[in-house]
Amino acid sequence: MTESPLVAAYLADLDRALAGADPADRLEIVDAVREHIEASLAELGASPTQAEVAGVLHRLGTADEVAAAWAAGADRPGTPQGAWSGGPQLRPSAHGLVPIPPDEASARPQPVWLTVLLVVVGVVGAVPLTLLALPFVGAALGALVFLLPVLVVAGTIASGLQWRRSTTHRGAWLTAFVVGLVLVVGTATASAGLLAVRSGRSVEQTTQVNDAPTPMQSPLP
Amino acid sequence: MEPDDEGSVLTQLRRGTLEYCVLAYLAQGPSYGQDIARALGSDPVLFGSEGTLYPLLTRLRRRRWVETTWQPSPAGPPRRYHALTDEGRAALRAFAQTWEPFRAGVDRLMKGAQ
Repeated sequence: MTESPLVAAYLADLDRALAGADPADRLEIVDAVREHIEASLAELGASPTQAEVAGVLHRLGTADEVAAAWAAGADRPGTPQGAWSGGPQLRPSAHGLVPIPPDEASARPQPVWLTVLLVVVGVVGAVPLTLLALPFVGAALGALVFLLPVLVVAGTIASGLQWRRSTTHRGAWLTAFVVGLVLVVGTATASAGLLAVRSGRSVEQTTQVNDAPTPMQSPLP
Repeated sequence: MEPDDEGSVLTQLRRGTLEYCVLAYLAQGPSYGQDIARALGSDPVLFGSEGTLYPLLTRLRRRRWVETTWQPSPAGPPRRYHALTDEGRAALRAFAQTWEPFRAGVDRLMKGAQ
């Protein structure tokens, strides 16, 4: 079906009015409205008149009214938490309340839990790393906890990227990044130092064993 | 009361209830946009304009209260059919349970105020 200029202009207006919406929602709403218009026009016969097309569009309401219905569902008090993640969040602007783009909005609750997670994983990861360097404990625990330092490194990289990309809560992302970085560098340095001490002691012990005339028992298992 | 005030009261009331009216209509069976718009639009109290249905359907779908599938149409291209999910049915039940005492409470006060 060739789209009437009136319909094309209406749909273009609607698309513009929904500029702040999630791109998938925007596409879905515009497509659904187009489908409604096409079905309504098909009922009017092969070639509806301009007045008939205008009548169909009039019943739909203006593009701004449709877009307002999208924004209106956002900030109702009493909406159960977690029951609805689809609605847009609003912020004040020169044109009244406008929806916050979803990528900004979704970045909001993350930094706090990510920071906590990084600290917890970092602390838990640092303990086994230190233990790894001590004699008699190394290999078994090391194998179990090898994943934790990897998680700390991944979390640090992720928060660093978010800090660069995000437009909100950059401070929180930066904090998460710095905490992660300190943990990685700190535990790596500590581990390297302890490993050096351990190998030094091993050499010393081996020398002592070799020097002893009749060794009864090795100090190492 | 000025007509403008009536309009804004209606807008506020619709905001909290219209989505449940759509759920109530879909409780009778799956339906497509034009059909829902026609059914709810037959009562001008419920619907200011048919187009407002579509953002509402998108919201209901994102809340997983409604699921949308394509179905062949007897005439013309396939249509999006909207059907109530179990979560949508539960939301509708919760609304109905709240709505009755709410309406009764408002009615009692309004009758006293006249």
